[in-house]
Amino acid sequence: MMLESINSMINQVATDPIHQFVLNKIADFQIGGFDVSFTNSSAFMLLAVVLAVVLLGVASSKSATIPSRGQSIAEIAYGFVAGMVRDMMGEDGMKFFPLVFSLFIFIFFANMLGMFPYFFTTTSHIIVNMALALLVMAVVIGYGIWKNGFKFFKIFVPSGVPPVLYLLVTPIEIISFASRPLSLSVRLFANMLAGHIMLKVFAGFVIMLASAGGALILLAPVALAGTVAVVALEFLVAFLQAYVFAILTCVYLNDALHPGH
Amino acid sequence: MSNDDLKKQIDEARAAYAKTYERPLNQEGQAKGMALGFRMATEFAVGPLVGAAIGWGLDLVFHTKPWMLIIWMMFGFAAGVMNVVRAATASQNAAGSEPVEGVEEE
Repeated sequence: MMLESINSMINQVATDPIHQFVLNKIADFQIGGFDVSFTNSSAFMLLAVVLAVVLLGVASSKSATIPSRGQSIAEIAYGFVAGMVRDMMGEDGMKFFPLVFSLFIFIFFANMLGMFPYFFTTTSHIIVNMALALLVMAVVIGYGIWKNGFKFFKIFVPSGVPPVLYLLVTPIEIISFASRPLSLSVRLFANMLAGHIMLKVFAGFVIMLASAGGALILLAPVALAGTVAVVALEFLVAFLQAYVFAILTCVYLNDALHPGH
Repeated sequence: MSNDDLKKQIDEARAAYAKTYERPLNQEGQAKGMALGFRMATEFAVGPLVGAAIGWGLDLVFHTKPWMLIIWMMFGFAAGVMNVVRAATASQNAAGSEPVEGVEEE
């Protein structure tokens, strides 16, 4: 009887795949009627930033000719993002390198922190990604207008189209432009959310099958193997999504640098 | 040990080396492919969504329910297709291959 109730309790806690995304307030703050409490999500954002700053700071503090392990990792990260920025935007795109590098490192650290059991994944909440994506779009629009003036709006009126077709093409171009922040944030959010739910469900199967009794217990190792495979996949996705976010940031910033392409 | 035996051993070692050496390259290719796949899926899905949102908003403003929603959703569909075509063209050009014939270069 006792064992059964414990079993059902474990089942409920361990197999609720959504529970990991619940926000808990750590410290309550109100500013002007807005709830700006410090939550577990804020805590992990802060942790990601602090970790990134400390690790990269320590790694680059010595700047030795023969790099230590940490320094070469930092150098590889720099080279990776710098190569991406140069490929997508050319040499004059390097002025956006700090933005792209910060976004990449922040998302990468947030995703990787989310891979620790019991850690919160900040990027699994769409509002966080939306804020990052809107920051990118604000830079694109702001810099595009500042640099190119009115010519920036040429991206909505592509050249070489018969004037009648502008009635069709311009709305399509506007939608295409407006869909960018959404596609940036939804992709990251959906991948992290779906991945972590999948992980939890697979891991839940292990407990459910093991506690179901009978021959079903023989299936538990299969679910466990599946969980291990999903963990590996999730590590890949965590890196990949940071990479995709950074590379699309470059693609969009390129529009602000060189409109009319 | 005869000459043939040694040859066999060398060949085996080479094959094993090639096998382990090949793997990271393949994985990198797979990762890039996955990134592209994720990108395509959302690029398309987001078009009609944003189109519908704009149409819905215009309907609210101009009281033209449901025409703007319908029209802008179609625009959104077209925008989604265009997003995918652009992403595909860009990735193909990046891969160094020739752009597909009939697809306008961006």
